[in-house]
Amino acid sequence: MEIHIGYQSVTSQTWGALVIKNQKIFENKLKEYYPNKNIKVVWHDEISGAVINTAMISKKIHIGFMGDMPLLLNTYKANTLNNYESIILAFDGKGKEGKNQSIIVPLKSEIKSIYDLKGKRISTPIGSSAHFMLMKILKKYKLYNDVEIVHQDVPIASQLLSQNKIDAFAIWEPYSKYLEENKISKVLVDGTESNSDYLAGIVVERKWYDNNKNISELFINSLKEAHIFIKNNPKKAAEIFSKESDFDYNTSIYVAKNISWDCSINKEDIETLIEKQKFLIEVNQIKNFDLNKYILYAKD
Amino acid sequence: MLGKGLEIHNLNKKYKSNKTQKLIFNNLNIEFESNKIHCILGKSGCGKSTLLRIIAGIEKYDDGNIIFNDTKGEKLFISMVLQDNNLLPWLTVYNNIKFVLKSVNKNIKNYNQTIMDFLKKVDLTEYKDYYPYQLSVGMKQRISLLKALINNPNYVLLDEPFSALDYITREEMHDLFLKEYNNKKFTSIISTHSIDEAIKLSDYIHIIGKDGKYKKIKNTLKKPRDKDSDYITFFEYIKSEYM
Amino acid sequence: MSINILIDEILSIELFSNIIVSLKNVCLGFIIAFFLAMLIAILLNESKLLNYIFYPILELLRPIPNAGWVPIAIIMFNALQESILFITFIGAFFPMFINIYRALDNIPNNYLIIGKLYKLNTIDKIFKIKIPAIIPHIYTAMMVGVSGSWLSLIMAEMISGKSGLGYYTWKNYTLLNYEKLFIGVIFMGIIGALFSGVISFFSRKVKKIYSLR
Repeated sequence: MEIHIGYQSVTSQTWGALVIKNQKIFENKLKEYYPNKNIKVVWHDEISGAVINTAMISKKIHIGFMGDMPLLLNTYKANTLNNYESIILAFDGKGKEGKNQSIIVPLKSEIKSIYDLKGKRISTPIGSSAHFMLMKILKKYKLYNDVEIVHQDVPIASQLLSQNKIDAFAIWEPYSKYLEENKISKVLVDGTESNSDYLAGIVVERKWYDNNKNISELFINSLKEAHIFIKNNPKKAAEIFSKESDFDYNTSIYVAKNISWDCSINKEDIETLIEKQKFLIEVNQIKNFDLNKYILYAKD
Repeated sequence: MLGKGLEIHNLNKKYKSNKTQKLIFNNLNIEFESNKIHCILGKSGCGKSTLLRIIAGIEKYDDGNIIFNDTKGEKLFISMVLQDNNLLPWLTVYNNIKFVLKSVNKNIKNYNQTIMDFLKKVDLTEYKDYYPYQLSVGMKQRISLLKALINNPNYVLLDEPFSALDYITREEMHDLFLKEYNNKKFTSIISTHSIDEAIKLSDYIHIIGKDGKYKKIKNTLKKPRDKDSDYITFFEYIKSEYM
Repeated sequence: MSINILIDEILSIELFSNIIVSLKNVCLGFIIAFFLAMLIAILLNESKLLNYIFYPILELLRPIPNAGWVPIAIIMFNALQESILFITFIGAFFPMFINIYRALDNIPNNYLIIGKLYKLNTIDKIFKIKIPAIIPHIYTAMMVGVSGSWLSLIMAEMISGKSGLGYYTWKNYTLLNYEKLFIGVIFMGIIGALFSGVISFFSRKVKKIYSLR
């Protein structure tokens, strides 16, 4: 039996996966509980939630780690497609009030305050949490109609930022820290200005979950263990992050210490998801659906 | 007066490729008398085409001298008829002739009349706007042959010009060529692998063997050269030298 | 997939204006690529020295995929639009260059002999013999070039992050809008085929004259 897990070494709030993978926490539990079964875990490091979603819909990946916006798109597809069902199992990294995201500008930029963004060009990955954060902040400061928003993928946007070809970049960790470490950018506005939590979670293909409830339980336990590990051993966790993602140690240790590693599904979390779902409906990306049907309520 | 025409002294050319070096001409000496028809007789690969290209000035040689004695200070003009592809396929018959006229004289003004006269002479007036692909091989060679003469060249070189034609067309072309030669007078060098053709057309036959062997034979048959007993004797003689 | 969504989208302004943007991106890049490909191929064909120096460099650059050129494009130019144009240019340039270069190398010798016999100068040799001799291959080169340019759209328009059929397709992939993604891809195919078809149509008469099938 093969279990395919998709994660993103480019999104820090999914780095719980890196610890599970590196320490073989999940594999060890599987060996312990199913010593006679030959179960192989295959890890897929993808460049975005969209790629993982497409792979899940085409049944190539069973378990996916991604940010909250791609999670919503995934469950929306489960709602609209006939042959796909999914369920949100747990969360990985969380950013209170929008932490672990920011709007960054080039290091030598003349933009000093958020109001200086007027008339400027800001990039953000389309349909992402950072996109939502940016919109909320722009609306808050009544700048929504006065900026040009463009959508490039992260590597291109990073390069454009370093060349001053875009004026600002709304993005999540590890990039804001990483680009700051490399003296390319500085933080203009912290994501907490948006007052909406930024979440990353795990979504699982429904049929697979129904057929493998025990294994899914083992997986959630693995995630819990990984979170405890990170909280108790941030330095060791940072080494693992660095090794698995190729980001430098300084960025990794910052991430290890500043992200809330909490797999439980709370009332606030569901409210956050519903708020973001409303946003997607507003911008005509999705139609309304009952989100609760697609969330697993953790038993303890 | 039979002037000294084209003299080739000690011509040397090697064929060089990555691994082999083959001797094409080894100290070849030839004399071509002016205003005569010379046929170079030789088997494929003996270098006839190469020799013609060297004379025409479009191919290099390693050593030797090529001297044109008969131009007396006026500009030497050499034209050439190749085995095929003498006409540029993207130009109509009319424009092919125009191309030739303009190449020799950039500022020529009343070329239209010249071209129409030419077309009348080759009996192809109604084909003036046709493209070469629409013409038969015979038509194309007819045009090519007369096109080569249109600028009154001193030397006309022909590289196996009739070998792609059927027997009857070839005979017609021979007659046409001889008629033009009698009208205009030029020095002609024709390469061929047909002994009959060499005998029919030439004043001199130059035989080039594969091993660089060279022999020049004067053609003393009286014109018209019908296939009588004299012809057959001469034919056998040439054949024996050729083989 | 819902037919209604498909039809609405096909008739939408968003799709139409994105197609127009892409057409502009490709046409300009393609035209510049065509002239440069012709110029460089002819220069390298004329001069053994230039060929010796530059042909190996071009052959080294040729296999670089569009994605590899994107960072270079961004660094090289000031405006994003210029970077986009560079990618559509690159998509067309290399296939056209190699086609025209090889065609020049394979001109039947007799046509070149005609040029030498009539003692044409270099300019006349190029414009009266070499270029006319390779016209069927120029059509082939154009077909491959416009194809290459069109295929580079997704990479090119990712730089802009805001418009074009390639960007539209990629954006809808990211948002999991499979109907729109499908439309984007289909239109990319249809328009690409249209380009080829038009060029092929004009090349037919020419191929007859050159006796090519």
